[in-house]
Amino acid sequence: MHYLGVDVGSVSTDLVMMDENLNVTEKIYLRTKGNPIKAIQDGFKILKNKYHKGDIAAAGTTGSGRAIAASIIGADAAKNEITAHATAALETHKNVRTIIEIGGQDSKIILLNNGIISDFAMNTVCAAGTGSFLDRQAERLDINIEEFGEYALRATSSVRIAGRCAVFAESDMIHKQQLGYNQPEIIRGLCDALVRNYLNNIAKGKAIFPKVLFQGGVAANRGMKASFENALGFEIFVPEHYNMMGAIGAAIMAKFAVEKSGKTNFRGFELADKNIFSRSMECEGCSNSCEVVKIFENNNIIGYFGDRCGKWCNKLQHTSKDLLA
Amino acid sequence: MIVGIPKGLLYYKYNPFLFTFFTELGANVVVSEDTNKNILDLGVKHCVDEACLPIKIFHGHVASIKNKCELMVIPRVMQLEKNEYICPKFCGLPEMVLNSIAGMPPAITEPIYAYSKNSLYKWAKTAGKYVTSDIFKIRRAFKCAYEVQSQHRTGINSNQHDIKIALVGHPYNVYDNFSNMNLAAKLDKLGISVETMEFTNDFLINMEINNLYKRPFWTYARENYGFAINAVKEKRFDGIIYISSFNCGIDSIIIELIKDKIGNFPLLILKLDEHTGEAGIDTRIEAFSDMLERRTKHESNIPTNG
Amino acid sequence: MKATFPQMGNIYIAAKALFEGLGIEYVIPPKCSKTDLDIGSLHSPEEICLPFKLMIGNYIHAIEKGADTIILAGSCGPCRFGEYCELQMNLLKSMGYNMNFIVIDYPKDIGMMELYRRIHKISSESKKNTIQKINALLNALKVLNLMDEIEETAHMYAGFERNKGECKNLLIECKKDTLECDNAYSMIKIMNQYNQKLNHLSVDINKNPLKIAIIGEIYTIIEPYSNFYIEEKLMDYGVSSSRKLTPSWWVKNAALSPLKINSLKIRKNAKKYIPIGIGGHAVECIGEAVTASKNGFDGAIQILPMGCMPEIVSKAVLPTISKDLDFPVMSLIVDDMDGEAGYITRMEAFIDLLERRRKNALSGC
Repeated sequence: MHYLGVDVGSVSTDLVMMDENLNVTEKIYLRTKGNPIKAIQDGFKILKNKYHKGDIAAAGTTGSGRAIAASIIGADAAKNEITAHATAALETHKNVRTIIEIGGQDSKIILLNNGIISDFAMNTVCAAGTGSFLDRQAERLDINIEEFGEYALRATSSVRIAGRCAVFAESDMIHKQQLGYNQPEIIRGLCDALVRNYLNNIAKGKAIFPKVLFQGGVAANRGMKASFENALGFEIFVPEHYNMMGAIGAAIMAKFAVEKSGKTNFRGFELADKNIFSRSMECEGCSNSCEVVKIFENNNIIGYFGDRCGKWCNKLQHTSKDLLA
Repeated sequence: MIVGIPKGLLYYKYNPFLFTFFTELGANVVVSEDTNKNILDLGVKHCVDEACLPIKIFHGHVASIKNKCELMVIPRVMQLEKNEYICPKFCGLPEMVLNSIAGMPPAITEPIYAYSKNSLYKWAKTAGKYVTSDIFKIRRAFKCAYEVQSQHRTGINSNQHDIKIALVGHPYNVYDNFSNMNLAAKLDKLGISVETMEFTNDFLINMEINNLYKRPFWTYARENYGFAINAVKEKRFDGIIYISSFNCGIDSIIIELIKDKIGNFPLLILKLDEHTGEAGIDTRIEAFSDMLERRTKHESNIPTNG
Repeated sequence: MKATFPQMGNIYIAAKALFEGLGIEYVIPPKCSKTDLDIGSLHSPEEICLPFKLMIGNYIHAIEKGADTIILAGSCGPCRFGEYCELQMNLLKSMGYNMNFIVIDYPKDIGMMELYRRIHKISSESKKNTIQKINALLNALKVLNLMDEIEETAHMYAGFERNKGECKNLLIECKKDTLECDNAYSMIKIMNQYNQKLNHLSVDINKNPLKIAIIGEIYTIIEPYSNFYIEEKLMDYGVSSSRKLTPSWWVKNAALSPLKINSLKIRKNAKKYIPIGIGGHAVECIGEAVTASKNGFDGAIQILPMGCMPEIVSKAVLPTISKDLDFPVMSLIVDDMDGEAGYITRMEAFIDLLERRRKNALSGC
């Protein structure tokens, strides 16, 4: 038996498979490219050669596209990514107190106490310090993003770079380049700035206790890890599946949900070959004029989203709202 | 008793009063250093993220001397004039500081209503009791401090260049040379003289206010607006530089009102934030100075009657 | 004269009752939407707060429908709201609209005579006699109070209802039916019917749902568009919510404030954390957080527009309250209304957090 977890984010869509003992047997990382449906189907195309419907004991979704994903695959749980990240971290590190998660477009901090989330914060407004911002800077400096962190470790000193805002940070970096600082110093300065920004902004006023886990795509960047350790004064840990923690959490939560309900809603891997698409319309039922999105499978509607009154959602048996409750 | 005075916000206007008052009471006064990188970092670290730069800097000043004094002065300046305020954050300044910085010494947080000598004395009475119980001593110290403050003049007025601008903004942006990156000196290098609002008569400032639908209820809004609009009419000014903090609620309104009134009179708005990029400021003021020079040349070619 | 006013929560229902009663022509601007914000952002100063931008959108939509007079409440600071009227007049003028503004400001700021003169501008348009005018005003207040009461009940019962979604549907139906009436009396009749229905709803009093207080800046907590319809979403999740700042509270508060007997309890509870009024509704925000914690709520959500000066002060104070009272508070800063997914994630995670705290408390570990 396996558990499937799907994390549909703005930048990437991740799928994981886990066995009964919750060991990851499969990891798939795809770019969402603004089309979550296609990304899920592409993932399923890879999986359906190895697994069939009966192998799946539970399926869960998370990430900003969790509701759409849930209606397409027939999920047993569709939970927010903060709970998902914490669930995954606790599975491997029972004594974790703090989770630093920096993904493609947003960053989070999650504080735990005795395995319970006690506080969290998340930025979605500004991209400073997130993966896509680092990608762009690496591109501008003409360095492979994989090597980016190594450069920072090479530096003997750090240049101060403004970190509050991506735009300022970028113009400040250009300015420092023109002043003749070398690349490693600038990159280390950038890592320090982003860490400073993270601690002053998202983590403001929150006491960070060890053990700290560093998750999300940016955790691969050793320069960022070093800057965090430098700022916090103790070692932080990057879990083995650092960039899949959301999907892992979704799979684990689905497992719990099925243990409660006794059966899975999973609809199978055949979805990969079906014609699934979305259409939006403006509902004219009242003055709210909700933008309602319909998800079609061939010619059947399998999901509605965006109606505030529930007029459309309630037409279907499994509404995403029930999953969340 | 060691009393700490943070060198932020309205310190630039009212430090003689505070310094003299507590010194005369017999306290040792510790003033934080001039704003610097370290103080800025401390401020950014402690202060709630959404606040503006001057408030963050103030937090930094407090944090830098919190272990060097037994009593911190956090001026809760409510009003300098009747029916006018400074800003909501000034009214809640002690709350912001005391809830954001751990391990603070006791603080003087009584509200300051400075619209008359009597109302200010009320504050001095309560504040003085932290240091001494001798009411006569407090009264003497207050008299002395009030005297020193009334002798104190702030303001920049340089006249060695042909081109002159009106420098508009809250006092803590105009006079904190770290956060404004020595703006006045930079302008001087570019051959531009600077004058601040202190040299424009209150009567002229209030004249301009009468043309508004509603009298602004912020002191510095009234003064900055009146000064800027009057500067357009004064022959001696070639342009206006408004120095403002990013996300300043008061400036967001006032700059709009000024823009609305001055037509095509040269106006440069400089936004301050905690980013260290001087390059941006330099580029802007250089371009502005070029523009002013071209304009004056251009104007001098036009006969004065037309 | 064809009067209009900014949208803000349920005010439009009371405004309809008032104008119908006075017999004055009026335009209700369409409910706040993305287009309001687009129009507002395009023309407003960059760093102005969100309510201003949405209001500009409301005005333009109302002008398209023929409105020529804008009625707006004022204040005398120290928060930015009191300066809205001046900027909005200039802005509409520069866009080429010639509008009359009637700003209802506090008498202590403009004087009783000026206030009377401004109100007279509105009432002189009405052909009704004085008694009818006073009645129209009283009925409008009644409508406002009733609507707020119904809303409060629905938000509270949402956690206890046996049939999922009943409260929310009743509330939506109630607003719809009320708006279809053409006079205050039938409005009040309809609302009373719905109030009865709500009070006879099938509820499970043993349910013990999560209870969350909504606190923060008044416009962003009252106007649902500006907070991603947070209260409706909480109803969907079966969470009871409570919000003390309502349009009717505002009216009562404004009327009592000269006597300094307004919102005594809130101010008492806030005193320890913010001893004096600092503008906006920062004191209320803090007071509400303390009150909610005392009343056994599970947590509070603070909503504020980006750059809101008074609420930035309360945001700095809230963590201390959180610590002192062991009471989770989450702040949501709204600005360009993008990134709804992020807000929903945070809301859900907050609900999760509150639920687990409870389980933890029950299992005693």
